[in-house]
Amino acid sequence: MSQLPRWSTLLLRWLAPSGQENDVVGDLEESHRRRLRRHGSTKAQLLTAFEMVEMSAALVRVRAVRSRVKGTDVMQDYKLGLRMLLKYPGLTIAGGLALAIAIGVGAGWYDLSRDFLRPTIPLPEGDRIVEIEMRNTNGGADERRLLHDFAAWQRDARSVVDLGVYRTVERNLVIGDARPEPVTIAETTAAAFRLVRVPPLLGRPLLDADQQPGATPVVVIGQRVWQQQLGGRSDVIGHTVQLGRTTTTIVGVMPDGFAFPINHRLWVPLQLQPSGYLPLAGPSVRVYGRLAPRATPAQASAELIALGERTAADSPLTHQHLRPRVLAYGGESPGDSTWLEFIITHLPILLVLVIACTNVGTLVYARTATREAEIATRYALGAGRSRIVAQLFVEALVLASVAAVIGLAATQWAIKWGMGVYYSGLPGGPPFWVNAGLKPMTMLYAAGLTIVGAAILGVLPALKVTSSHVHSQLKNLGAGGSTLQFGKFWTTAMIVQVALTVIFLPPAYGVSEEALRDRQIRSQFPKEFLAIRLELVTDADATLPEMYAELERRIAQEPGVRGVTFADRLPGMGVALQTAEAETSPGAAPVLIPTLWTASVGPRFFETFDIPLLAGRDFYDGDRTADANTVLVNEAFARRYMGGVSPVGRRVRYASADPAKARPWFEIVGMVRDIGMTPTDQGEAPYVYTPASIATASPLVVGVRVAGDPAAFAPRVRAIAANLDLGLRLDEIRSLDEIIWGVDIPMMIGAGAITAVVTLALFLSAAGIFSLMSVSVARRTKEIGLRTALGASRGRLIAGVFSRALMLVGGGIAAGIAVLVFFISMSDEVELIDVADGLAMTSALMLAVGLLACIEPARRALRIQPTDALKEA
Amino acid sequence: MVQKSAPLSLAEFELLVLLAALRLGQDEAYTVSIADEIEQRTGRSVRHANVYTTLQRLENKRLIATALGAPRAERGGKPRRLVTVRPSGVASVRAAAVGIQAMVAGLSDLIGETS
Repeated sequence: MSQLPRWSTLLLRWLAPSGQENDVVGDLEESHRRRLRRHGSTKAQLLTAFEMVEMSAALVRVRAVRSRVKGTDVMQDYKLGLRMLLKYPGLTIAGGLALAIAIGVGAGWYDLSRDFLRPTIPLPEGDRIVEIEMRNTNGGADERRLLHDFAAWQRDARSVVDLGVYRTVERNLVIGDARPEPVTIAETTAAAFRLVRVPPLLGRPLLDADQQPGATPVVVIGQRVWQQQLGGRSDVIGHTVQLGRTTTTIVGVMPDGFAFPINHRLWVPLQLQPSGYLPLAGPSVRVYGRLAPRATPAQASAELIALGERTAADSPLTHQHLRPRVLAYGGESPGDSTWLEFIITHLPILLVLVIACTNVGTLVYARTATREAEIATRYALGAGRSRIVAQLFVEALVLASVAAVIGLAATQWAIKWGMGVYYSGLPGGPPFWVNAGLKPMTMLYAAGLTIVGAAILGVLPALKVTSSHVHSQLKNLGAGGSTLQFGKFWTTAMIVQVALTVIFLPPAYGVSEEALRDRQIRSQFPKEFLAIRLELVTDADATLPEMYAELERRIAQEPGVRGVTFADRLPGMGVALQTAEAETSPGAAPVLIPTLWTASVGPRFFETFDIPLLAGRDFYDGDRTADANTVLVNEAFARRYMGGVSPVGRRVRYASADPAKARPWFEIVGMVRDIGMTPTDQGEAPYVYTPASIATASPLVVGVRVAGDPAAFAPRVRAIAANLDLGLRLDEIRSLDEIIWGVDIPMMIGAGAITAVVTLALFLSAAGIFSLMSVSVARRTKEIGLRTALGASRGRLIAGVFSRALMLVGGGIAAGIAVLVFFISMSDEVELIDVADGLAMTSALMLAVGLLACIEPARRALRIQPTDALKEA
Repeated sequence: MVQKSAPLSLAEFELLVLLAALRLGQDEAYTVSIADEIEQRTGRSVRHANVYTTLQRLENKRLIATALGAPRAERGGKPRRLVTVRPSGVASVRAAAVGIQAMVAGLSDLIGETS
C-alpha cells in the first residue's frame, strides 16, 4: 500500500511518459519509505515533497525532449500517410474528390455568406457604418422614397450619426473632344465624405454648400478617372467636364480604390429641397450613417423602429406598413450576430462535410480493417492506443489536406469567376468591399474543416480497431481473417448513400440533358444581332420617342444594317412569366395557363428576326395605344391551348390575384412561328406578344440586325447616339450571341457540377459496397473454408456473397424510391409517370454497380482453401 | 568489413551513472540504487531526478537498455526499472577511462595519488 500522498502519485502518473508511471512512482515510494525510517514522518514528507518537485521538473524536461522526438514520429506518420495515398489509389481519388468538394464548398459557402451577410468594409471603423432601409411589412418591395423620413432621422436619431443619402445615376461623360462614355455617378449629400473619413488626394470633397439649390455644378472624381481620362493633368482642380448636358467643375480627386457608396468613381451633390419633402415624395434614395460612439446595432435598430412607429402614427396612410431597419453596410445582417445567422453560415457546411466523410468513411474503415494485423502487432509491442489513433488520424489528415488544397483552389477559381459573372451586369463593376477570392479567415476555416474531417475519418475507425482484444486480433494474423465488421452505423450509412444516389441521379442527368439540349437549340439562332439597352436623361424640351425615331433612322442608314427594332427583351434575353387564362372556344370556360412567356415588342420586330406570320396579322400602330387590347401568340401556344387550330379571334388574359377583379381580355390577332429560343420539355414555350411603344417598353432594348460581326458595329452606334444628343445613354451594347452564351454557360456549368457530384456519389457507393463485401469475406474466411470442406457448391458460396450486397443495394433503392414517391405525391407539378423511366434506369444501374462491386470479393471467397481454414479451426 | 563507429563521448555525470550501473549489475541497477552508489563512492549528493534524466538521455543514445523488473513490496508493489549497460555504453566508458588515465598520467606530483 502506498505511503505517498495521493496528489503526488496522481501528478507523477500524469507527467510520467507512457509505460513509466509505475517505476517512477515506485522510486519515490522507496525513497519516501527510507526517509520515514531514517528521519520520521514530518521531515520525510518535507524531503519527499522536495523530491516530488524535482522529479516533476525532470519529467517535464523529458516530455519536452520526447515531443521533439515525437515530432520525428509525426513526420514519419505523414510519410506513411503519403505512401497510403499511392497504395490505395481508388480511395485516394474517390475519397479525395469527395472531401475536396465538401471542404471547397464549405469554405466557399463560409466566404460568401460572410461577404453577403456581413462584409468587411475597408474604411476606418467600417464595421460601424450602417445602411437604413425601409421595409414594407405587407410583403411588398422596400420603400426607397425616404427623403421625408431621412429628415426626421437626422433630427431625432441619437444612435446613428453622419446620416446621408445617395442615389446612383448614369450620365454620358464627355471630356474635351473625346467620345462620350457612359458612367455611373453617385449623387450624394456631403455627409458621405464625413462618414468615410478618407481625405481627397487633391482639392476638396463635396460640401454642404454644394447641395444648395442654385450652387455651381461640381464633381469629385476618382484617381483613375483623373489618370486615364484626364491624363493626370496637374490643373485638374477647376477643370470642367460635361456630365450629360451639364457642365460641371472638378473640385476634388479621391484616392485610388475609393468607391463609396458602392462602385462609384464620380460624385456630384444631391440637391435637396430646403422646404423638405412630404411623406413618400421625392426620388428614390438610399440612406447611410455611422453608429454613434458606444451605440450598438441593437440600440440603433430599436431607436429607428421607435421613430418609424411614431411616423406611422403621424402618417398612417403612407407609413402604416413601413418600418425602418438598420443593417451592417453592404450586407444583409442586422449587425449583431444572431443564432439564425450562425445556422445559415455553419449548418450547411457541417451537413455537407458529415455526408462526405460518411461516404468516404466506409472506404477508410475498410482500409483500416486490412491493416488490423499490423495495428494489433504494434499494440502488442507496446504502442499506446493514443499513438495508434494519432497515426491513423495523421494518415487521414494527409488525405484531407491534399483534398483541401484541391478544393480550395477550385473554390477560389469558382468564386472569382462567379463574382465576375454576378457583377458583370452591374455598371461600374463589383462593390468596393467585394474582394473576390478566399480570405485568410476562410483559409483558417477550411483548415478547421480539414481537421474535423480527418478526425471523423481517422479517429473513429482507429478507436474501433484499438478497442478489440489484441489476442483475438493476433490469432487472426495467420488466418488472414479480421475481427472488424461493418456495424449498424456503417451499414445504415451505405444504405442512405445508395438511397440518395437513387433520388438525385435521375434529376441530375435530367438537368444536364436539358442544359445541353437548350444550348444546342439556342446556339443555332442567327448570330448577327446587336442588343442595346437605351436610356434618355431628358430635359423638358426633348422626348424619348422623338429621340429614338431619329436614332433608328440614322442607324438604319448605316451600311450593313438589315433591320432595327426594339422590345422589352430580345429573343434569348431572359423571360417574363405570367399566369394566364385562355378562351379556347367562344363561350367555353377559360383554361388555366400556369406559365406563359410574354414579351412586349416594337414595330418590325418579327420581320427583323425573320419570324414569319402564320395566321392573322401583325400589330398596327393603332395597337400600341393604351386602350388597345390585342396580342399575338406563337405556334406552341396554339398547339397546347387551342388544340392546334388557329387562335386568331380567341382571347387570353393575365390571371388576377383577386377573382373579383378580373383583368381585361386580350384578343389574339395573329400567330407567329416559334422562335426556338425557349425550349421546354414539351417543345417551345408558349408565348404571348404584346405591342410596345417607346414610351411603354421597359426596359427599352434596341435590336439591330447587322450583316457581319455585330460587335464591330457597336462603336458606330455609340458615335451616332452621341452626335444625336449627349443625354442619350446606351448601356450594355453586346451581341445577342454573347448574351445567350452568358445565360447558357452558368446553367451548363451548374448542371455539369451536379452531374459530376452525383456520379462521384455513384462511384463511392460502388466502392463502399466493394469494401463492405471485402471485409465481410475476410471476416468469414474460416466459415467459408469450412463450408467448402463440407461440400458447399461454388454457386452457394457466390450466392452468400452476393445476397448481402443485394440486400444492402435493394434496401437503398427501396428507401430512395419511397422518399421520391413521397415528395412527388406532395408536388402538383410532377407525376410519378414523369420520373418512372429515370427511376427504373437508375435502380437498374445501382443494382448492376452493386453486383459488379461484388465480383472481386466473390473471387476471393472462392480462392479460400479449406485446408487452411481447417488448420486454423 | 564492418566499420565500428567511435564511442560516444560522455558527460561527467553520465560516466558516473554508467559506472555505477556496471558495478551494480543488471539485476540491481536502477534509479535509486545508482544514486546511492554514486553518493557512497564519491561522497557527493545526488538527486534521483538527475539520475532519472541522465538515464533517459543514455537510453536515447542507446548506451543502456532498461526493462521493468518484478513488483517489490518495499516500493508499494511497484516494479523497478532495471538498467543494463549495452556494449556501446561499455565502449564509451572504456574510452572515457582511457582518456582520463592518459590525461592524469604524470601529474601525481600536482594532484596527488588518484588510486
